Amino acid sequence: MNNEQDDRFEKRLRFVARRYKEGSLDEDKAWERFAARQGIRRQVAFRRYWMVAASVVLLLIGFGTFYMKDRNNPEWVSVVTASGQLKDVYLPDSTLVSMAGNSTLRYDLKKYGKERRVVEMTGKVFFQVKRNEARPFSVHTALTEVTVLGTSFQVNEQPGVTQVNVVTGKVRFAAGEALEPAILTAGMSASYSDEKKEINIGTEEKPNDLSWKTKQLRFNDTPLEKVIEDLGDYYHVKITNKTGSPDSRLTATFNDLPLDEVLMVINQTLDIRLVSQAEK
Amino acid sequence: MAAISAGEFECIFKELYKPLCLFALRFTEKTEDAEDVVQQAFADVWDKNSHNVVIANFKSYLYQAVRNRSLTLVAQSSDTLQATECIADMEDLSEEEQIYQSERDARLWAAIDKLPAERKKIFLLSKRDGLKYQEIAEELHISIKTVENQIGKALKTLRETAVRIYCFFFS
Repeated sequence: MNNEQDDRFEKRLRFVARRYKEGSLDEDKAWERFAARQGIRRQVAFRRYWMVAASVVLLLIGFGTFYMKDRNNPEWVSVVTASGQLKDVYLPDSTLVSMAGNSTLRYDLKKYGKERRVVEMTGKVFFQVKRNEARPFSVHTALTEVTVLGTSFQVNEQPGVTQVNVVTGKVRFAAGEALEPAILTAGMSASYSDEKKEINIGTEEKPNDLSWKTKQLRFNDTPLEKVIEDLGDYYHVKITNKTGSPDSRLTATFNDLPLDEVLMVINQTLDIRLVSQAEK
Repeated sequence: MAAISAGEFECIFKELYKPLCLFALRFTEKTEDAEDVVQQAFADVWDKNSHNVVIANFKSYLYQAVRNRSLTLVAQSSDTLQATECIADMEDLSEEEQIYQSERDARLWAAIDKLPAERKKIFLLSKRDGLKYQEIAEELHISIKTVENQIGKALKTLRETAVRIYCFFFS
């Protein structure tokens, strides 16, 4: 600061200091006095009050929305199997899910078990559901819904067709919109085809539908055609009959045997020639 | 419907109040008078505003109003000599410069307001009441060294305020 500025400062300081009075020239106090006299105090106070109230409300709405959104945001858990891969998954309620190859399973971790137990799936999946009557277990596929309380069953969802096999207990199988749901009990199976738009219930036992899971192939006076189909499904190969006698029937049980041995046993038993070709 | 809202008016009021008072203090001796004059000037403007009279430049208008009211007040008082002195002192400054100076004075005032209580007391005894350091020391039962020290610190703070103001205006 040069001398001129210094002089000016001294002069102003003297001017201000000589007139200084504690608590005077307070603009807030002055405004209160002014507003009271002009009758605008209330209005301003009112406005301020409302602005504060409005801010608080807005904040609350903001937090509330955020909280609700956060609460309703699904937290998906997805399990996917590759071709030929088998996978066991335990759900939070210790329901066991066995997945065949090329299958997917998805559920919302936040909602699962809250009121209901809901999973979505594609492909072939076997469920052993932990019993809980208060929280029904539901399996959704593109076309159908299977609801149970506590049983074991399999859902096989293929394009256009969804099939359910019940091993124990009772399940409710619903498909489409207008159809009456079917109640299935142990040993029953049912399928829904998108084409026919109806549920087909089969009471005959189809033991090999679950063989991928049980590792057991059972044939009980089964026509050869069906044997070939089941073997093909189980081993993922194409099997052809090189002899011309398709009317044979087979009764046998195979426990997780290699395909070669199975074919050898069948060929020798029925005196035919079944040949496998690796599936393309 | 007023030309500007009460909220806006409050902002203008609080921003201009202190500088206007210090401007009024160039004419009036008492802070009470200065505050009254400024209050009246604002009341006049508020009244005009309520009747939808548009005032192009609030600031300039208010300084004019405060000057006129202050001069009227001083003229009414017995001490005419003091009034002429004041006016003579101001003649070499333009209106704009006077406004700037009043704003700087307002900052100084605010800076004094903010001084620590004890330092403020010592500072005012010296600069406002014109007491010598020795007298202040005796009155407050402290050493002269303390008085010097406190006034030095007060001046430093106020000078810094002033420097900031000058920098602001000349940068």
